[in-house]
Amino acid sequence: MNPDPTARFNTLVAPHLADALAFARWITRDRADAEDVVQEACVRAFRSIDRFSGSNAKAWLLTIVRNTAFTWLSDKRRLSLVSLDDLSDQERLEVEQGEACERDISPEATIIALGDAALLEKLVSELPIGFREVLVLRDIQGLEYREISGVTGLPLGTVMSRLARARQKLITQIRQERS
Amino acid sequence: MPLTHDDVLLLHAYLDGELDLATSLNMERRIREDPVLQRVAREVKGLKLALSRMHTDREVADAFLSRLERKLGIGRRWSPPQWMLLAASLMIVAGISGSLTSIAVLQREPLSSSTQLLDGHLRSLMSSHQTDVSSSDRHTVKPWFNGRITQAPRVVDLTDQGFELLGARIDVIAGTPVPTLVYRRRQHVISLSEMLLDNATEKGEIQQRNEHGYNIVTWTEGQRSFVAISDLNSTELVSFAQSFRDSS
Repeated sequence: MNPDPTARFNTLVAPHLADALAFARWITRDRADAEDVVQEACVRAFRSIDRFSGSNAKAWLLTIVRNTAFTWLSDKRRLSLVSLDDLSDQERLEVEQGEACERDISPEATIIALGDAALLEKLVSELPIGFREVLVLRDIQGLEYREISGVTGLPLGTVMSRLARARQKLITQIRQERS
Repeated sequence: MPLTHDDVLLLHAYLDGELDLATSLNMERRIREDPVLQRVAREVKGLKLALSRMHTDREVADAFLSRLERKLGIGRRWSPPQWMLLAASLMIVAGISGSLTSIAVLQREPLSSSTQLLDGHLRSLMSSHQTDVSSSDRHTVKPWFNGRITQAPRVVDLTDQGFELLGARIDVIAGTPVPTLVYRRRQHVISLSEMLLDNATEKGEIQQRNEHGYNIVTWTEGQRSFVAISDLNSTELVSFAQSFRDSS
């Protein structure tokens, strides 16, 4: 690896800027705020770039972006909008079993039928942040479970249960939209 | 039988390709037999597909980049120097006229070229266009290589498997032009290069490794060696390689 920080920045950080911005937008829900967060995260990344020895630059950068975004959110007292009840991982997943056949939906078909991908985007952005970040990291950024656990600092089991519950919430809401 | 909390978690993990083979096969069997699991699996699969197709803005605004570079005190962001572009186009000519030495070098060590392919992949990510020809139609992409390179690379439509064809470009490895197809999964770009080998081989196993945070999978097939590079997670990149390999 090139010892020159600028060159390392170009290899390690620059290729992942688009992902970093997209992730920050999902967390902050605002384009300008996302740019501020990513800029601040890049300053931190640049400062510690010599210490990066791992192999997964994208996960490393997303971790810094995530931590920066959470600091930023709590500075703005926006984290208080998150209901703690929503984050209880003790809650059991409930799977509806009645009327299974009648109410069977394919979310994708429904989204297409509604002609409204914007709906899905809205539903994702309204998920509580603890669910949203896990869902976005998996289903939009394509990270593996253990990478998500690394980025968020959550135990693997919590990652799995939040991901399942986030998806369940979306499916339930899409079903409601349709009926 | 009602689903337990663990059943649901396992189902999601199964659909995410996160289970080991034995657990995965077991889950597959249970889904076949249990109508409730079947329905939930269909819903979750549909949702995952809808999410992966959701348009996500991939643009890094120039104004933002300039601001960032000023803030960090680094120079202009890296772009391929003009000589490199020129060299690439000259090499294409050299390739057609038959640059035997470089082809021989390439053929002996098909895997060592992955560093150069990785460079090509990174370069394409950082420039505004990732392809020299942009089309999702393999009947447009395949003829585009005519007259640019001597080999006729295989171009496969993998839309149904969730990999969208974006187009193609030519990378230059060890002085030899190499056809590279560009696919996309969600917003992850996959560069797939095809190189010719000296000797015909059997359909080889798919091998994977990681370099600088990028996943690289390789396999050989007859006289061709394939290298796919992406920041996509390794499970999905291997499934991409399998879909491509099995399409013939």
